[in-house]
Amino acid sequence: MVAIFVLALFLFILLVDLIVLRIQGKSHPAFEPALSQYDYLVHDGNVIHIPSNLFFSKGHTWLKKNKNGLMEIGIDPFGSTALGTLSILKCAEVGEELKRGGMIFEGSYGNKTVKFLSPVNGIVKSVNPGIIGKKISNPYESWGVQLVSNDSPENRDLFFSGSDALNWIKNEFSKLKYFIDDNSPIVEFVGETMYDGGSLSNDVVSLLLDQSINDFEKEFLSL
Amino acid sequence: MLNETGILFDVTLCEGCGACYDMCKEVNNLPETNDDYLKDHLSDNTFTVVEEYGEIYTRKLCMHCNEPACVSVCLVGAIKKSSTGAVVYDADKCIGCRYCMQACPHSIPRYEWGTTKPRIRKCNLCDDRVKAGKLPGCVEACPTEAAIFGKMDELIEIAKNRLKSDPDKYYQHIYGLEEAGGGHVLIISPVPFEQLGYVSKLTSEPMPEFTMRAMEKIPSVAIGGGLFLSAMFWLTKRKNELAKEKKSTNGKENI
Amino acid sequence: MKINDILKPTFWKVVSVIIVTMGLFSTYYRFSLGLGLTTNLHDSVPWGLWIGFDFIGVGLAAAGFTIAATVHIFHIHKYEPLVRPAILTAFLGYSVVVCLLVVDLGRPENFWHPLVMWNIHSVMFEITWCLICYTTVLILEFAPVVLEKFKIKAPIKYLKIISIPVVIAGVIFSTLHQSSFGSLYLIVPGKLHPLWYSSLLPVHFYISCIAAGLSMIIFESFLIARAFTKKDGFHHTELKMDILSGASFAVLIALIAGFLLKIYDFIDNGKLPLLTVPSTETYLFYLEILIGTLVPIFLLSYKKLIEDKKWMYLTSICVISGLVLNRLNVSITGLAASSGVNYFPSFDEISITMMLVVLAIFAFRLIAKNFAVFVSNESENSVNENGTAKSKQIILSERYE
Repeated sequence: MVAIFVLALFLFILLVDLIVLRIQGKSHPAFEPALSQYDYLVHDGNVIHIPSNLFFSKGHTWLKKNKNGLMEIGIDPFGSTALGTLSILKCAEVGEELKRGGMIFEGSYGNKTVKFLSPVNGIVKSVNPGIIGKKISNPYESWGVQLVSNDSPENRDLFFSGSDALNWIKNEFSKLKYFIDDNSPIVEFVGETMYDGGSLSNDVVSLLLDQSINDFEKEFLSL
Repeated sequence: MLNETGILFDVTLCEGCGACYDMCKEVNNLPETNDDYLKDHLSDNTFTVVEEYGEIYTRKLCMHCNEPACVSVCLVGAIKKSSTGAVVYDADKCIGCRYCMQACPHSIPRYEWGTTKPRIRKCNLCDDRVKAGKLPGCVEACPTEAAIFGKMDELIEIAKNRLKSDPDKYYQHIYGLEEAGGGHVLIISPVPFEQLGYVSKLTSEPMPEFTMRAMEKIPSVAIGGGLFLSAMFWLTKRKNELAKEKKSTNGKENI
Repeated sequence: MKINDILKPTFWKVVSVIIVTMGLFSTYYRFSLGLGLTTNLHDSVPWGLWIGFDFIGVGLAAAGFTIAATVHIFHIHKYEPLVRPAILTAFLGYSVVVCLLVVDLGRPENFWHPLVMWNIHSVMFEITWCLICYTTVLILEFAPVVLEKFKIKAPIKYLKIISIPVVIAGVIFSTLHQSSFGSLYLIVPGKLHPLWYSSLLPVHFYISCIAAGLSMIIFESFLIARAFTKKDGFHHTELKMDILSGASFAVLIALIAGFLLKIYDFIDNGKLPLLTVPSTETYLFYLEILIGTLVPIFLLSYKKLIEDKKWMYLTSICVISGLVLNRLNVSITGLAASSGVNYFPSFDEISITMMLVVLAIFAFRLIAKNFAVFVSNESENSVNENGTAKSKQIILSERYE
């Protein structure tokens, strides 16, 4: 009986806490729908979040299946920060029939333009007008397009989620460091910074050779 | 063991007069706890009781084990074996953890719950009286010689003879000879002992043995664990260093 | 923090104040009236809620040694951010346990006797010494955090030198006393219900404390993320899911090991028929195994669930509940039949226990507010490296702007 009593008291207190939070309009970290699932520290003080309800394609877009069956697609934190802050220039248009591998976003780091590829087949239902021409500050809030698609993001061969996604993104960032080393004319300098445990600066793109942006697309944005 | 003394209690001779109960209270300066001594039970002010089972009367008291659980568990050594074989208690050492009460296979020790400076209370086989050459209070008071006092080997001999000479009268078992490793209070009775409220099914192994089996592994766990952890420390450190070296040479190649 | 903020009543502040006030009154009564009047303990039930709760507290504080060993001995630095919270939890957990023990002692004024009066055959003696030594280890392990704060650098150097032997000693002391809490009951084969009595009790206790200690750290990470937000000026308090997933996996392994050992124990000692005897003990045993072992093993076996914070939270609660049930079953349920009495703790017993838990949580808050308890992966290892890296980065960006 004592065992049951102590256990019940423990669970009761946890329950009351949830109710109190609900009344205060706050959410418990375990049950809040929002982000901050898997965290990875990149730039000084910058944390990369990998929410567990999202899926990630190898072309650095994220996918989210909405309750109404629509699929939201946006650019992931790697894509939005890899070579400096990304601004979106163009999006696929409403009504367009997208093929997997077709262009879905066009963006630019500084003066260099890159293409992001659609991770699924589908028809564009709507486009977020708020993202065109702007820098992406919160990659998960600014979805780019909504698609009607029959493809399932839960295909583990094509898409990552949870800790797989975290490991993959980590890997991509370390690949990126080598990539910048290889493609920067002032090797010593950048290299030194990185091996000292330093991090990527916010304006890497200006260090790169002109043609290397194509290699970047091939290396990081292909599916 | 040879010079150690104890009590042999013969249930067949006990008439339930309660003289032992009264004398125990007198010797230990204990207050009265019940109008009817047959209805009393062991407590912080009652070290022995006479119990009535139909026509049969028997007694309950500390069994003064040879290897007492209470002595082995007491972390400050407040409970000790006396040279006479009695299990005695020193209240000045006691911190009041009550592990002895928990550990006792016969559930004998009682506690002074009502005070702010509580003591463990139980029969001490009148250790001071015995050392002064007197009989324990209960034995001295017994009018029928149901309880006799003497050296342990003599008492065992007497008990065995009684069982042998009158096999119909006695249940063929000496309670307390082997229970929990044996003790200094032996009981012989006409009926099986569980009928008289004694804890039967006790192993003949002394209770401290159960703990010792685990305790004796402590040195090897400590030393083995220490070695294992030190080894793991060096191994994993070395492994990490190698991995780091490899990484940095790889890095240089890339440049 | 301003005085106004501290005095602003919130639900939990009010509840805490009520609990502590009641607890203080109960403590006063306990020490002025004695155990008999204020507790429901008596000759047949010499140990009650307080001792049972000590087992729970020590079991849940086990992460202090497992995490320290993982990071400092096995060099898995991923878990670095958990070290300080785990050590602090362990220290506060043990403080609660020691306070409860003193409250429970019949003669608390003699609490120092074990230091000078020895009986090396007593498990209790061994536990007492391990507790003392391990608490010292915890203080040494946490001392750098305090010294850092006050910028006293000299002793930190010496602490660094002895840190590895200290961690190793901590693991050994923990191993010994965690298992010895089980050994306490080895001496009562006739009294403790055979569902729980086993010559392997120390091993059961040890394995279950590893699973529950890690679960406690996971559970606590949620509490920390809930209570210490960026808004209040805390950093590195957000949930670090990859670390917690790793810890959950270790919980799974410990749970499976513990379960296999239980099965072996039941088969080896022919205790299987006991499982079909309808009695309170059997039902509580089933509840303990179900909540504390089977459900968490099931949940943790799914990779998807291990990575979902909601399920991770619920799983940690399950494992903790399992430990609570197990320790109280061993210390109270399992002994009820042989004592012949139904024990239920008194108001004073409950309120003193709750007061100590509230005070420990308060102490955790206070220490977390004032010392660097939460650190990120990098900061502890590579302060220097980061320093140089930063300066170079500035040069880098200046040059190309």
